[in-house]
Amino acid sequence: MTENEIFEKLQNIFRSVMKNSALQITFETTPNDLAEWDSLAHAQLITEIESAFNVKFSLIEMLDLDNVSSIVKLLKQKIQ
Amino acid sequence: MNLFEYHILLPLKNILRNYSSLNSFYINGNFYTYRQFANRISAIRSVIRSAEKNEKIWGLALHDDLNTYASIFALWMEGKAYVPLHPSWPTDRIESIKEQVGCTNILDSCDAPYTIDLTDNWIEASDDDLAYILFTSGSTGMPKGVQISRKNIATFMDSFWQTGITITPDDHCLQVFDLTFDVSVQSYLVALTQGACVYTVPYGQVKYIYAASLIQEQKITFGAMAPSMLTYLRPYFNEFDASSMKTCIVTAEACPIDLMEAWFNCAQNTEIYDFYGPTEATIYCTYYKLTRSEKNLSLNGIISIGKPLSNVQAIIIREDGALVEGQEKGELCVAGDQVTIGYWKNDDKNASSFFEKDGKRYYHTGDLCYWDRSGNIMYSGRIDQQAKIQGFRVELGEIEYHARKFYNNEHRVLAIAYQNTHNLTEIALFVEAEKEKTTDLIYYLRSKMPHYMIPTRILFEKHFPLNKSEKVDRNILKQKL
Repeated sequence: MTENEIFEKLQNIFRSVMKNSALQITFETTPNDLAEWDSLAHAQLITEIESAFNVKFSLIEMLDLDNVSSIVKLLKQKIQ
Repeated sequence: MNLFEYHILLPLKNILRNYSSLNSFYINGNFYTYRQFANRISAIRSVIRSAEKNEKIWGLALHDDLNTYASIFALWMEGKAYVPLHPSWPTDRIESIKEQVGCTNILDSCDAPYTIDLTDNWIEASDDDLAYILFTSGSTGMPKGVQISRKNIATFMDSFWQTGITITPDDHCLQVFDLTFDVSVQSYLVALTQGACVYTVPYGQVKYIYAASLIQEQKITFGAMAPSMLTYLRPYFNEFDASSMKTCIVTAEACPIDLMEAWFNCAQNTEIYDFYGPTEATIYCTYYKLTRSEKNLSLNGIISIGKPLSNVQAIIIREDGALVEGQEKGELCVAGDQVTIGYWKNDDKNASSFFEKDGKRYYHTGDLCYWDRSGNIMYSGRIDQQAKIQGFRVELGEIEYHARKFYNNEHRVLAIAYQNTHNLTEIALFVEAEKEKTTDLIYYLRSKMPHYMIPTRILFEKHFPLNKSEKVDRNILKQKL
Protein backbone atom coordinates (compact mmCIF):
# COMPACT_ATOMS: atom_id res chain seq x y z
CA MET A 1 0.00 0.00 0.00
CA THR A 2 1.32 3.48 -0.82
CA GLU A 3 1.16 6.38 1.59
CA ASN A 4 -1.57 7.94 -0.53
CA GLU A 5 -3.67 4.78 -0.46
CA ILE A 6 -3.28 4.62 3.32
CA PHE A 7 -4.23 8.30 3.50
CA GLU A 8 -7.41 7.77 1.44
CA LYS A 9 -8.47 4.93 3.71
CA LEU A 10 -7.76 7.13 6.76
CA GLN A 11 -9.81 9.97 5.27
CA ASN A 12 -12.84 7.68 5.24
CA ILE A 13 -12.22 6.48 8.78
CA PHE A 14 -11.95 10.08 10.00
CA ARG A 15 -15.19 10.97 8.20
CA SER A 16 -17.04 8.07 9.73
CA VAL A 17 -15.71 8.61 13.29
CA MET A 18 -16.25 12.40 13.18
CA LYS A 19 -19.65 11.83 11.52
CA ASN A 20 -18.89 14.41 8.87
CA SER A 21 -18.91 13.13 5.28
CA ALA A 22 -17.46 16.40 3.96
CA LEU A 23 -14.44 16.37 6.30
CA GLN A 24 -11.13 17.00 4.51
CA ILE A 25 -8.02 16.01 6.40
CA THR A 26 -4.46 16.56 5.17
CA PHE A 27 -1.16 14.95 6.08
CA GLU A 28 -0.55 17.93 8.38
CA THR A 29 -3.88 17.79 10.29
CA THR A 30 -3.40 17.61 14.08
CA PRO A 31 -5.92 17.29 16.94
CA ASN A 32 -5.49 21.04 17.37
CA ASP A 33 -7.06 21.64 13.93
CA LEU A 34 -10.25 19.68 14.54
CA ALA A 35 -12.42 20.47 17.56
CA GLU A 36 -14.02 17.02 17.20
CA TRP A 37 -10.65 15.28 17.52
CA ASP A 38 -10.83 14.83 21.30
CA SER A 39 -10.05 11.87 23.54
CA LEU A 40 -13.28 10.04 22.69
CA ALA A 41 -12.77 10.48 18.92
CA HIS A 42 -9.11 9.52 19.20
CA ALA A 43 -9.92 6.27 21.00
CA GLN A 44 -12.53 5.49 18.32
CA LEU A 45 -10.09 6.38 15.53
CA ILE A 46 -7.49 4.02 16.94
CA THR A 47 -10.02 1.17 17.24
CA GLU A 48 -11.26 1.73 13.67
CA ILE A 49 -7.76 2.09 12.22
CA GLU A 50 -6.55 -1.04 14.00
CA SER A 51 -9.43 -3.07 12.63
CA ALA A 52 -9.32 -1.61 9.08
CA PHE A 53 -5.57 -2.23 8.70
CA ASN A 54 -5.48 -5.30 10.91
CA VAL A 55 -2.72 -3.91 13.13
CA LYS A 56 -2.30 -3.20 16.84
CA PHE A 57 -0.62 -0.07 18.19
CA SER A 58 1.53 -0.15 21.31
CA LEU A 59 1.47 2.66 23.86
CA ILE A 60 4.94 3.80 22.80
CA GLU A 61 3.73 4.05 19.19
CA MET A 62 0.58 5.89 20.27
CA LEU A 63 2.60 8.52 22.13
CA ASP A 64 4.35 9.50 18.90
CA LEU A 65 1.23 9.98 16.79
CA ASP A 66 0.82 13.74 16.62
CA ASN A 67 -0.63 14.30 13.17
CA VAL A 68 -2.14 12.40 10.24
CA SER A 69 1.24 12.01 8.57
CA SER A 70 2.69 10.19 11.58
CA ILE A 71 -0.27 7.78 11.50
CA VAL A 72 0.29 7.13 7.78
CA LYS A 73 4.03 6.50 8.29
CA LEU A 74 3.47 4.17 11.23
CA LEU A 75 0.82 2.22 9.32
CA LYS A 76 3.06 1.88 6.29
CA GLN A 77 5.80 0.49 8.48
CA LYS A 78 3.47 -1.92 10.29
CA ILE A 79 1.70 -3.41 7.28
CA GLN A 80 4.90 -4.08 5.36
CA MET B 1 -4.84 37.43 58.46
CA ASN B 2 -7.88 36.04 56.70
CA LEU B 3 -8.38 32.46 55.48
CA PHE B 4 -7.51 33.06 51.83
CA GLU B 5 -4.25 34.74 52.77
CA TYR B 6 -3.44 31.97 55.24
CA HIS B 7 -4.14 29.04 52.90
CA ILE B 8 -3.15 30.45 49.51
CA LEU B 9 -1.38 33.81 49.30
CA LEU B 10 1.03 33.37 52.22
CA PRO B 11 2.22 29.83 51.31
CA LEU B 12 2.73 30.98 47.72
CA LYS B 13 4.67 34.06 48.84
CA ASN B 14 6.97 31.85 50.95
CA ILE B 15 7.55 29.52 48.03
CA LEU B 16 8.26 32.40 45.64
CA ARG B 17 10.79 33.83 48.08
CA ASN B 18 12.48 30.68 49.34
CA TYR B 19 12.25 28.23 46.46
CA SER B 20 12.58 30.60 43.53
CA SER B 21 15.06 28.41 41.66
CA LEU B 22 12.74 25.36 41.70
CA ASN B 23 10.46 24.60 38.78
CA SER B 24 6.90 25.84 39.08
CA PHE B 25 5.57 24.67 35.70
CA TYR B 26 6.28 22.35 32.83
CA ILE B 27 4.28 23.62 29.86
CA ASN B 28 4.58 22.39 26.30
CA GLY B 29 8.07 21.02 26.77
CA ASN B 30 9.47 23.98 28.76
CA PHE B 31 10.25 24.33 32.46
CA TYR B 32 9.61 27.63 34.27
CA THR B 33 11.04 28.42 37.71
CA TYR B 34 9.13 30.00 40.57
CA ARG B 35 11.22 33.14 39.95
CA GLN B 36 9.93 33.33 36.37
CA PHE B 37 6.42 32.71 37.66
CA ALA B 38 6.81 35.51 40.23
CA ASN B 39 8.03 37.87 37.52
CA ARG B 40 5.02 37.13 35.35
CA ILE B 41 2.66 37.64 38.29
CA SER B 42 4.04 41.06 39.15
CA ALA B 43 4.19 42.11 35.51
CA ILE B 44 0.53 41.20 35.02
CA ARG B 45 -0.39 43.02 38.25
CA SER B 46 0.91 46.21 36.73
CA VAL B 47 -1.30 45.64 33.68
CA ILE B 48 -4.30 45.13 35.96
CA ARG B 49 -3.51 48.30 37.91
CA SER B 50 -3.21 50.36 34.79
CA ALA B 51 -6.61 49.30 33.42
CA GLU B 52 -8.93 52.19 32.66
CA LYS B 53 -11.93 50.56 34.28
CA ASN B 54 -11.37 49.29 37.80
CA GLU B 55 -13.57 46.20 37.68
CA LYS B 56 -13.81 43.51 40.37
CA ILE B 57 -14.26 40.66 37.94
CA TRP B 58 -12.00 40.08 34.98
CA GLY B 59 -12.37 37.79 32.00
CA LEU B 60 -9.43 35.42 31.57
CA ALA B 61 -8.77 34.07 28.08
CA LEU B 62 -7.43 30.57 28.60
CA HIS B 63 -4.19 29.51 26.99
CA ASP B 64 -1.88 26.79 28.05
CA ASP B 65 0.94 29.13 29.03
CA LEU B 66 2.63 30.63 32.07
CA ASN B 67 0.86 33.98 31.62
CA THR B 68 -2.57 32.41 32.03
CA TYR B 69 -1.66 30.79 35.36
CA ALA B 70 0.21 33.91 36.49
CA SER B 71 -2.89 35.98 35.62
CA ILE B 72 -4.98 34.03 38.12
CA PHE B 73 -2.60 34.85 40.98
CA ALA B 74 -2.07 38.41 39.77
CA LEU B 75 -5.84 38.96 39.89
CA TRP B 76 -6.10 37.37 43.34
CA MET B 77 -3.22 39.48 44.69
CA GLU B 78 -5.02 42.54 43.35
CA GLY B 79 -8.17 41.45 45.21
CA LYS B 80 -10.02 40.52 42.02
CA ALA B 81 -11.81 37.49 40.61
CA TYR B 82 -11.56 35.69 37.26
CA VAL B 83 -14.09 34.29 34.83
CA PRO B 84 -12.46 31.76 32.51
CA LEU B 85 -13.30 32.23 28.82
CA HIS B 86 -12.23 29.44 26.52
CA PRO B 87 -11.04 30.50 23.03
CA SER B 88 -12.54 27.31 21.57
CA TRP B 89 -16.02 28.18 22.82
CA PRO B 90 -18.48 29.63 20.32
CA THR B 91 -18.44 33.45 20.28
CA ASP B 92 -22.10 33.47 21.31
CA ARG B 93 -21.31 31.68 24.54
CA ILE B 94 -18.35 33.93 25.37
CA GLU B 95 -20.39 37.07 24.67
CA SER B 96 -23.32 35.80 26.73
CA ILE B 97 -21.02 35.19 29.71
CA LYS B 98 -19.28 38.57 29.39
CA GLU B 99 -22.65 40.26 29.20
CA GLN B 100 -24.08 38.38 32.19
CA VAL B 101 -21.06 39.28 34.35
CA GLY B 102 -20.70 42.76 32.88
CA CYS B 103 -16.94 42.51 32.62
CA THR B 104 -15.10 44.47 29.96
CA ASN B 105 -11.50 43.83 31.08
CA ILE B 106 -10.06 40.67 29.59
CA LEU B 107 -6.59 39.31 30.34
CA ASP B 108 -5.33 37.56 27.25
CA SER B 109 -1.73 36.43 27.27
CA CYS B 110 -1.68 36.57 23.48
CA ASP B 111 -1.76 40.33 23.28
CA ALA B 112 -0.38 42.21 26.31
CA PRO B 113 3.29 43.20 26.45
CA TYR B 114 3.83 43.42 30.21
CA THR B 115 6.19 45.72 32.06
CA ILE B 116 7.99 44.30 35.07
CA ASP B 117 7.35 45.73 38.54
CA LEU B 118 8.37 43.32 41.29
CA THR B 119 6.45 43.13 44.55
CA ASP B 120 4.98 40.24 46.46
CA ASN B 121 2.64 42.01 48.83
CA TRP B 122 -0.99 41.76 48.04
CA ILE B 123 -3.92 44.17 48.15
CA GLU B 124 -6.14 43.47 51.12
CA ALA B 125 -9.44 41.84 50.26
CA SER B 126 -12.18 40.22 52.27
CA ASP B 127 -12.73 36.46 52.40
CA ASP B 128 -16.23 37.23 51.17
CA ASP B 129 -14.90 38.68 47.92
CA LEU B 130 -15.09 36.48 44.85
CA ALA B 131 -12.14 34.42 43.61
CA TYR B 132 -13.70 33.06 40.41
CA ILE B 133 -16.98 32.50 38.62
CA LEU B 134 -17.30 29.28 36.66
CA PHE B 135 -20.03 28.97 34.08
CA THR B 136 -21.63 25.55 33.76
CA SER B 137 -24.31 24.18 31.48
CA GLY B 138 -27.81 25.50 32.25
CA SER B 139 -30.98 23.58 31.44
CA THR B 140 -32.76 26.75 30.28
CA GLY B 141 -30.27 27.19 27.45
CA MET B 142 -28.27 29.89 29.24
CA PRO B 143 -25.01 28.94 31.02
CA LYS B 144 -25.17 29.67 34.75
CA GLY B 145 -22.33 31.23 36.75
CA VAL B 146 -21.27 29.64 40.03
CA GLN B 147 -19.70 32.28 42.28
CA ILE B 148 -16.83 30.98 44.40
CA SER B 149 -15.53 33.26 47.15
CA ARG B 150 -12.06 33.44 48.63
CA LYS B 151 -13.45 31.84 51.77
CA ASN B 152 -14.87 28.95 49.72
CA ILE B 153 -11.45 28.13 48.25
CA ALA B 154 -9.55 28.60 51.51
CA THR B 155 -12.01 26.29 53.26
CA PHE B 156 -11.56 23.74 50.49
CA MET B 157 -7.78 23.87 50.92
CA ASP B 158 -8.18 23.30 54.66
CA SER B 159 -10.46 20.30 53.98
CA PHE B 160 -8.07 18.93 51.37
CA TRP B 161 -5.01 18.90 53.64
CA GLN B 162 -7.06 17.26 56.39
CA THR B 163 -7.43 14.14 54.20
CA GLY B 164 -3.76 13.45 54.97
CA ILE B 165 -2.57 13.87 51.38
CA THR B 166 0.82 15.60 51.36
CA ILE B 167 2.74 17.37 48.60
CA THR B 168 6.39 18.44 48.81
CA PRO B 169 8.66 20.50 46.52
CA ASP B 170 9.90 17.17 45.08
CA ASP B 171 6.50 16.27 43.67
CA HIS B 172 5.61 16.30 39.98
CA CYS B 173 1.92 17.20 39.79
CA LEU B 174 -0.34 16.60 36.81
CA GLN B 175 -2.80 19.29 35.63
CA VAL B 176 -4.98 17.78 32.89
CA PHE B 177 -8.16 19.75 33.46
CA ASP B 178 -9.50 22.60 31.43
CA LEU B 179 -9.35 25.85 33.48
CA THR B 180 -13.11 26.22 32.98
CA PHE B 181 -13.50 23.23 35.26
CA ASP B 182 -12.77 23.52 38.99
CA VAL B 183 -10.63 20.40 39.44
CA SER B 184 -8.02 22.52 37.62
CA VAL B 185 -7.99 24.83 40.68
CA GLN B 186 -7.15 21.89 42.96
CA SER B 187 -4.53 20.71 40.47
CA TYR B 188 -2.53 23.93 40.41
CA LEU B 189 -3.21 25.17 43.97
CA VAL B 190 -2.08 22.16 45.98
CA ALA B 191 1.13 22.03 43.93
CA LEU B 192 2.01 25.74 43.90
CA THR B 193 1.31 26.30 47.61
CA GLN B 194 3.82 23.51 48.42
CA GLY B 195 6.55 24.40 45.92
CA ALA B 196 5.94 21.43 43.61
CA CYS B 197 6.00 21.54 39.80
CA VAL B 198 2.76 21.59 37.77
CA TYR B 199 2.82 19.59 34.50
CA THR B 200 0.10 20.76 32.13
CA VAL B 201 -1.53 19.22 29.09
CA PRO B 202 -1.45 21.72 26.19
CA TYR B 203 -4.73 22.52 24.46
CA GLY B 204 -5.17 20.77 21.14
CA GLN B 205 -3.53 17.58 22.39
CA VAL B 206 -5.33 14.30 22.87
CA LYS B 207 -5.46 14.49 26.66
CA TYR B 208 -5.08 10.88 27.67
CA ILE B 209 -2.17 10.32 25.30
CA TYR B 210 -0.31 13.42 26.44
CA ALA B 211 -1.04 12.69 30.12
CA ALA B 212 0.31 9.15 29.68
CA SER B 213 3.52 10.47 28.18
CA LEU B 214 3.88 12.98 31.06
CA ILE B 215 3.31 10.28 33.67
CA GLN B 216 5.82 7.99 32.03
CA GLU B 217 8.51 10.42 30.91
CA GLN B 218 8.29 13.18 33.52
CA LYS B 219 7.72 10.73 36.38
CA ILE B 220 4.49 12.26 37.65
CA THR B 221 3.98 11.57 41.37
CA PHE B 222 0.56 13.14 42.00
CA GLY B 223 -2.44 13.81 39.84
CA ALA B 224 -6.19 14.05 39.56
CA MET B 225 -7.81 12.38 36.57
CA ALA B 226 -11.28 11.59 35.31
CA PRO B 227 -12.00 7.84 35.20
CA SER B 228 -12.75 8.14 31.45
CA MET B 229 -9.11 9.06 30.87
CA LEU B 230 -8.03 5.82 32.55
CA THR B 231 -10.66 3.90 30.57
CA TYR B 232 -8.96 5.05 27.35
CA LEU B 233 -5.55 4.00 28.71
CA ARG B 234 -6.70 0.68 30.08
CA PRO B 235 -5.86 -1.35 26.92
CA TYR B 236 -2.24 -0.24 27.41
CA PHE B 237 -1.93 -0.76 31.18
CA ASN B 238 0.38 -3.78 30.70
CA GLU B 239 2.96 -1.63 28.90
CA PHE B 240 2.36 1.63 30.78
CA ASP B 241 4.99 2.61 33.35
CA ALA B 242 3.13 4.53 36.05
CA SER B 243 5.43 3.41 38.86
CA SER B 244 6.32 7.02 39.79
CA MET B 245 2.71 7.80 40.72
CA LYS B 246 2.34 7.96 44.51
CA THR B 247 -1.10 9.52 44.84
CA CYS B 248 -3.88 9.44 42.28
CA ILE B 249 -7.22 11.17 42.62
CA VAL B 250 -10.08 9.98 40.45
CA THR B 251 -12.90 12.48 40.17
CA ALA B 252 -15.46 14.27 37.99
CA GLU B 253 -17.34 11.11 37.01
CA ALA B 254 -18.72 7.96 38.62
CA CYS B 255 -15.75 5.65 39.14
CA PRO B 256 -15.96 1.96 38.08
CA ILE B 257 -14.43 -0.50 40.57
CA ASP B 258 -13.00 -2.89 37.95
CA LEU B 259 -11.14 0.01 36.33
CA MET B 260 -9.61 0.90 39.69
CA GLU B 261 -8.50 -2.69 40.32
CA ALA B 262 -6.75 -2.68 36.94
CA TRP B 263 -5.24 0.74 37.70
CA PHE B 264 -3.90 -0.51 41.06
CA ASN B 265 -2.13 -3.32 39.16
CA CYS B 266 -0.67 -0.90 36.65
CA ALA B 267 0.33 1.91 39.03
CA GLN B 268 2.05 -0.35 41.55
CA ASN B 269 3.06 2.36 44.02
CA THR B 270 -0.03 4.53 44.03
CA GLU B 271 -2.69 5.25 46.58
CA ILE B 272 -6.07 5.97 44.99
CA TYR B 273 -8.68 8.41 46.29
CA ASP B 274 -12.13 8.82 44.78
CA PHE B 275 -13.21 12.45 45.27
CA TYR B 276 -16.73 13.72 44.63
CA GLY B 277 -18.14 17.22 44.50
CA PRO B 278 -20.17 19.71 42.48
CA THR B 279 -18.70 23.08 41.43
CA GLU B 280 -21.27 24.73 43.75
CA ALA B 281 -19.50 23.29 46.82
CA THR B 282 -15.95 24.13 45.64
CA ILE B 283 -14.22 21.24 43.95
CA TYR B 284 -14.72 18.31 46.35
CA CYS B 285 -17.22 17.48 49.12
CA THR B 286 -16.61 13.83 49.93
CA TYR B 287 -13.90 11.23 49.37
CA TYR B 288 -13.21 7.54 49.64
CA LYS B 289 -9.70 6.13 49.96
CA LEU B 290 -9.42 2.84 48.12
CA THR B 291 -7.55 -0.07 49.64
CA ARG B 292 -5.16 -2.11 47.53
CA SER B 293 -5.94 -5.84 47.31
CA GLU B 294 -8.89 -5.58 49.64
CA LYS B 295 -12.58 -5.29 48.89
CA ASN B 296 -13.64 -1.71 48.24
CA LEU B 297 -17.14 -0.45 48.83
CA SER B 298 -19.20 -0.21 45.63
CA LEU B 299 -22.73 -0.16 44.27
CA ASN B 300 -23.51 -1.58 40.81
CA GLY B 301 -19.79 -1.53 40.07
CA ILE B 302 -19.39 2.13 41.07
CA ILE B 303 -17.05 3.03 43.96
CA SER B 304 -18.55 4.69 47.03
CA ILE B 305 -18.06 8.45 47.20
CA GLY B 306 -17.11 8.00 50.85
CA LYS B 307 -17.46 10.43 53.69
CA PRO B 308 -17.75 14.23 53.80
CA LEU B 309 -14.58 16.36 53.96
CA SER B 310 -13.91 17.92 57.36
CA ASN B 311 -15.59 21.27 56.52
CA VAL B 312 -18.59 19.76 54.74
CA GLN B 313 -21.89 18.71 56.29
CA ALA B 314 -23.84 16.19 54.22
CA ILE B 315 -27.42 15.01 54.54
CA ILE B 316 -29.61 12.81 52.36
CA ILE B 317 -33.23 13.89 52.08
CA ARG B 318 -36.55 12.68 50.74
CA GLU B 319 -38.56 14.67 48.23
CA ASP B 320 -40.47 16.33 51.10
CA GLY B 321 -37.21 17.49 52.68
CA ALA B 322 -37.21 15.04 55.59
CA LEU B 323 -34.05 13.06 56.29
CA VAL B 324 -33.97 9.51 54.91
CA GLU B 325 -33.88 6.56 57.28
CA GLY B 326 -31.48 3.62 57.15
CA GLN B 327 -30.32 2.78 53.64
CA GLU B 328 -33.16 4.63 51.97
CA LYS B 329 -32.18 6.53 48.80
CA GLY B 330 -32.61 10.29 48.56
CA GLU B 331 -30.95 13.46 47.34
CA LEU B 332 -27.52 14.33 48.69
CA CYS B 333 -27.39 17.89 50.04
CA VAL B 334 -24.30 19.65 51.37
CA ALA B 335 -23.64 22.64 53.65
CA GLY B 336 -20.63 24.48 55.05
CA ASP B 337 -18.17 27.20 54.08
CA GLN B 338 -17.31 25.53 50.78
CA VAL B 339 -20.84 26.08 49.46
CA THR B 340 -21.20 28.96 46.98
CA ILE B 341 -23.12 32.09 47.89
CA GLY B 342 -25.21 31.31 44.80
CA TYR B 343 -25.49 31.62 41.04
CA TRP B 344 -24.60 34.95 39.46
CA LYS B 345 -27.73 37.13 39.15
CA ASN B 346 -30.10 34.18 39.03
CA ASP B 347 -32.76 34.52 41.74
CA ASP B 348 -34.98 31.71 40.45
CA LYS B 349 -32.20 29.16 40.38
CA ASN B 350 -30.89 30.35 43.75
CA ALA B 351 -34.33 29.94 45.31
CA SER B 352 -34.67 26.38 44.05
CA SER B 353 -31.09 25.15 44.57
CA PHE B 354 -30.45 26.19 48.16
CA PHE B 355 -32.45 25.78 51.37
CA GLU B 356 -32.15 26.30 55.10
CA LYS B 357 -32.40 23.41 57.53
CA ASP B 358 -31.52 23.42 61.23
CA GLY B 359 -29.71 26.74 60.87
CA LYS B 360 -27.55 25.59 57.96
CA ARG B 361 -27.74 26.51 54.29
CA TYR B 362 -27.73 23.46 52.05
CA TYR B 363 -27.16 22.96 48.33
CA HIS B 364 -29.26 20.41 46.39
CA THR B 365 -26.64 18.37 44.51
CA GLY B 366 -29.20 16.52 42.36
CA ASP B 367 -27.31 13.29 43.10
CA LEU B 368 -29.26 10.26 44.25
CA CYS B 369 -27.44 8.59 47.15
CA TYR B 370 -27.80 6.55 50.31
CA TRP B 371 -25.82 5.96 53.49
CA ASP B 372 -24.07 2.61 53.63
CA ARG B 373 -24.00 0.96 57.09
CA SER B 374 -20.32 1.93 57.34
CA GLY B 375 -21.26 5.62 57.13
CA ASN B 376 -20.03 5.97 53.56
CA ILE B 377 -22.19 7.54 50.85
CA MET B 378 -23.17 5.38 47.88
CA TYR B 379 -23.85 7.10 44.55
CA SER B 380 -26.79 5.82 42.59
CA GLY B 381 -27.32 8.27 39.70
CA ARG B 382 -28.91 11.65 38.99
CA ILE B 383 -32.40 12.79 39.93
CA ASP B 384 -32.50 15.08 36.88
CA GLN B 385 -31.28 15.16 33.28
CA GLN B 386 -27.67 16.07 33.87
CA ALA B 387 -24.87 14.02 32.32
CA LYS B 388 -21.10 13.98 32.64
CA ILE B 389 -19.21 13.96 29.34
CA GLN B 390 -15.48 13.41 29.76
CA GLY B 391 -15.86 14.98 33.20
CA PHE B 392 -17.78 18.04 31.95
CA ARG B 393 -21.22 18.69 33.36
CA VAL B 394 -23.87 18.81 30.66
CA GLU B 395 -27.53 19.70 31.12
CA LEU B 396 -29.38 17.74 28.46
CA GLY B 397 -32.02 20.48 28.58
CA GLU B 398 -29.52 22.98 27.20
CA ILE B 399 -28.87 20.78 24.15
CA GLU B 400 -32.62 20.31 23.65
CA TYR B 401 -33.19 24.07 23.94
CA HIS B 402 -30.76 24.86 21.11
CA ALA B 403 -31.98 21.97 18.94
CA ARG B 404 -35.61 23.12 19.33
CA LYS B 405 -34.57 26.63 18.39
CA PHE B 406 -32.89 25.32 15.26
CA TYR B 407 -36.19 23.70 14.24
CA ASN B 408 -38.16 26.86 15.21
CA ASN B 409 -39.98 24.77 17.82
CA GLU B 410 -41.62 22.76 15.03
CA HIS B 411 -40.26 19.41 16.17
CA ARG B 412 -39.97 17.77 19.53
CA VAL B 413 -36.43 16.81 20.49
CA LEU B 414 -34.98 14.72 23.26
CA ALA B 415 -31.34 14.37 24.34
CA ILE B 416 -30.32 11.12 26.00
CA ALA B 417 -27.02 10.21 27.65
CA TYR B 418 -26.01 6.58 27.19
CA GLN B 419 -23.02 4.31 27.72
CA ASN B 420 -21.19 3.33 24.53
CA THR B 421 -19.44 -0.02 23.98
CA HIS B 422 -16.31 1.32 25.71
CA ASN B 423 -18.48 2.16 28.75
CA LEU B 424 -18.07 5.90 28.13
CA THR B 425 -20.92 8.38 28.14
CA GLU B 426 -22.12 9.82 24.82
CA ILE B 427 -25.10 11.99 23.95
CA ALA B 428 -27.72 11.06 21.39
CA LEU B 429 -30.32 13.51 20.14
CA PHE B 430 -33.72 12.23 19.00
CA VAL B 431 -35.77 14.42 16.67
CA GLU B 432 -39.45 13.76 16.04
CA ALA B 433 -39.40 14.23 12.27
CA GLU B 434 -38.77 12.53 8.94
CA LYS B 435 -35.13 11.62 8.45
CA GLU B 436 -33.07 14.42 6.94
CA LYS B 437 -29.49 15.62 6.68
CA THR B 438 -28.01 16.76 9.97
CA THR B 439 -25.16 18.94 8.70
CA ASP B 440 -26.97 22.25 9.30
CA LEU B 441 -28.23 21.19 12.72
CA ILE B 442 -24.74 20.17 13.86
CA TYR B 443 -23.30 23.39 12.44
CA TYR B 444 -25.89 25.39 14.40
CA LEU B 445 -25.28 23.49 17.64
CA ARG B 446 -21.54 24.03 17.28
CA SER B 447 -22.12 27.77 17.07
CA LYS B 448 -23.92 27.67 20.44
CA MET B 449 -22.18 25.11 22.65
CA PRO B 450 -18.71 23.73 23.45
CA HIS B 451 -17.77 20.68 21.39
CA TYR B 452 -18.22 18.15 24.21
CA MET B 453 -21.93 19.08 24.31
CA ILE B 454 -22.53 18.27 20.63
CA PRO B 455 -24.50 15.00 20.31
CA THR B 456 -22.44 12.23 18.73
CA ARG B 457 -25.58 10.58 17.31
CA ILE B 458 -28.71 12.17 15.85
CA LEU B 459 -31.70 9.91 15.25
CA PHE B 460 -35.06 10.68 13.68
CA GLU B 461 -38.34 9.13 14.80
CA LYS B 462 -41.63 9.83 13.04
CA HIS B 463 -43.44 9.60 16.36
CA PHE B 464 -41.95 9.55 19.82
CA PRO B 465 -43.15 6.59 21.92
CA LEU B 466 -45.21 7.64 24.93
CA ASN B 467 -45.42 6.02 28.35
CA LYS B 468 -48.54 5.49 30.47
CA SER B 469 -48.54 9.07 31.70
CA GLU B 470 -48.46 10.35 28.09
CA LYS B 471 -44.87 11.53 28.42
CA VAL B 472 -42.15 10.68 25.92
CA ASP B 473 -40.80 7.30 26.93
CA ARG B 474 -37.05 7.83 27.31
CA ASN B 475 -36.48 4.14 28.06
CA ILE B 476 -37.87 2.96 24.72
CA LEU B 477 -35.78 5.55 22.88
CA LYS B 478 -32.71 4.58 24.88
CA GLN B 479 -33.11 0.97 23.76
CA LYS B 480 -32.66 2.08 20.16
CA LEU B 481 -29.09 3.19 20.91
